[in-house]
Amino acid sequence: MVDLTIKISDKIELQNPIMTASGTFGYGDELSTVINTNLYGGIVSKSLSLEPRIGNPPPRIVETPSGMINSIGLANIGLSRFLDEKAKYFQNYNGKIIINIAGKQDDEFYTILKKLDKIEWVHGFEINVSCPNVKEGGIQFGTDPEFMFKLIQPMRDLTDKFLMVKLSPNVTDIAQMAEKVQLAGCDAVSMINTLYGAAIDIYSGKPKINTVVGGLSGPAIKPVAIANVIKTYKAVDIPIVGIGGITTGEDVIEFLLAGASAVELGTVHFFNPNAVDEILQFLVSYCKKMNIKRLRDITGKAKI
Amino acid sequence: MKNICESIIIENTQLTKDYWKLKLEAPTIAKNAKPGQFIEIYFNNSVKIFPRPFSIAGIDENNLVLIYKIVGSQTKKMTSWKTGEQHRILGPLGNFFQINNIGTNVLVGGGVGTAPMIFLRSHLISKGLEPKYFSGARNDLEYFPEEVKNSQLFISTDDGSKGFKGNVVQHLEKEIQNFKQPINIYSCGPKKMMEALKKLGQKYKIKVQLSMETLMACGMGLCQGCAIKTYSKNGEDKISLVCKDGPIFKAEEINFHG
Repeated sequence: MVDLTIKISDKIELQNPIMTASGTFGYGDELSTVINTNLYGGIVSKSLSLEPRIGNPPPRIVETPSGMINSIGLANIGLSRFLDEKAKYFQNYNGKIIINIAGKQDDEFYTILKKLDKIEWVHGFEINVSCPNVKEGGIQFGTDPEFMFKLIQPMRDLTDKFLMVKLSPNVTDIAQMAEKVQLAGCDAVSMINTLYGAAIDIYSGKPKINTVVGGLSGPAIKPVAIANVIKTYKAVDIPIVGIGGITTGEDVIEFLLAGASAVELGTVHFFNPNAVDEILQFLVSYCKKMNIKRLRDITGKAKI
Repeated sequence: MKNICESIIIENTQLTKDYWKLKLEAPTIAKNAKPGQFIEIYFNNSVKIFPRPFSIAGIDENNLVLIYKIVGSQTKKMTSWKTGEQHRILGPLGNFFQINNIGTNVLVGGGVGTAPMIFLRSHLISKGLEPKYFSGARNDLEYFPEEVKNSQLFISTDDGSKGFKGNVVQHLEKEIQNFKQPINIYSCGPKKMMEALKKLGQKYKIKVQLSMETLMACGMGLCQGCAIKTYSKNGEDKISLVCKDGPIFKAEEINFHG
């Protein structure tokens, strides 16, 4: 029997290391009629803000080689509607529920955090300090270590639940950002959010997405993510949740070897909604083949 | 309810230079699909990663019928698919046309936008209604639906190589006086054509339903990428998702200037 369970810090134990990446899985319930959503170790919700957000005008996405650029602008239904409409589904959900929070200023983050801290079915938080598509706040929170530290430090006093910060690769040194997350007393880092990306229509001369520059995701960014996980694993003791272009079980193993304790599936949901099933089957067969009893033992075991 | 399945190719035949007909065995999807809905086809292509959306052009027992046009490398690839092969699909997706049982039902298909109209026509005929079907294209090299019983077909081409010379909306406007009121228009086609239909609807006070198209990724509201500009009931600016809020919209909802 292969043991796929993992702990991300002492606060959260998952039945397996596969979670969903925010913004690629709706609020968590949309796919529940198409696939078995209970297969995931955990679901990370779409980014939530206090008030509903309409998001950016079209065009919002473009397909690029082995990837895509998006500029959705954190369109979401807002905290109140989320709690009203989704509570019933999540109360009956088997895995862990992590709520991704995106605010424009400090206060918005804190208000949401305080409210959700009291909700029983919320097991933890992922703080989005790194959305490239929101003008106010977004970028600076995620790229200036001191600015981010000031934002996240007070959060530790607001919740004892699992608290993770999602980091942007669009910085000089991601490990330095992760050190600040650790210093602030957070439980984990997740990485990487999307890379800057742009594309131009050569016939009209116009950018292919409305905000000109958006976030690049998909298989194309996996090597960038692996490199960042390797670097961060050396720099911090808190667990790393790996994100970036994961498509197959092989990709998951690569992230774990690089230093990730768990992973999030993102863009793959758009072209293979049932990837989680195929990945879990691979993880079991890989462990058997490699004579690994507990998958969690391979974290950081790349021969570097 | 939507479903992912490994569909089996029953038939894949060339109709005209660029138009093909694909018949796929997918019982659960076929059972649930309604006119106006679409499916996503997954291509298992590591470079072009998105699935591609296709309107459903008909149901034949356990099978879905698609009419597709070669527009890029994925549709080109589809022409090589052989009977018996399996391809993963997701569907039925999106909302569907709202059928009116009184007056005249007018279907307007432009180019490959004629595909969902074929499904809608069969559906209306099966309900004992007798729709008028306007099919327009650039020239006679494109695909036009066949004549069928209990439905009148009006063909137009921009260059006059087949049927009425002019665009499909001009053709419709020429005939519309002869139709019994109230008239309901259902349409799918190029943006310009649908914008002209919206204007026509306003001019003659006719209800128009439009099937919108845009670049799409997931097809089920996960990515929120297929956004278009729309108006709310009060006329306020809004953003809607073609995959989930559509693809069918009332003409007055669409902001063509966005």
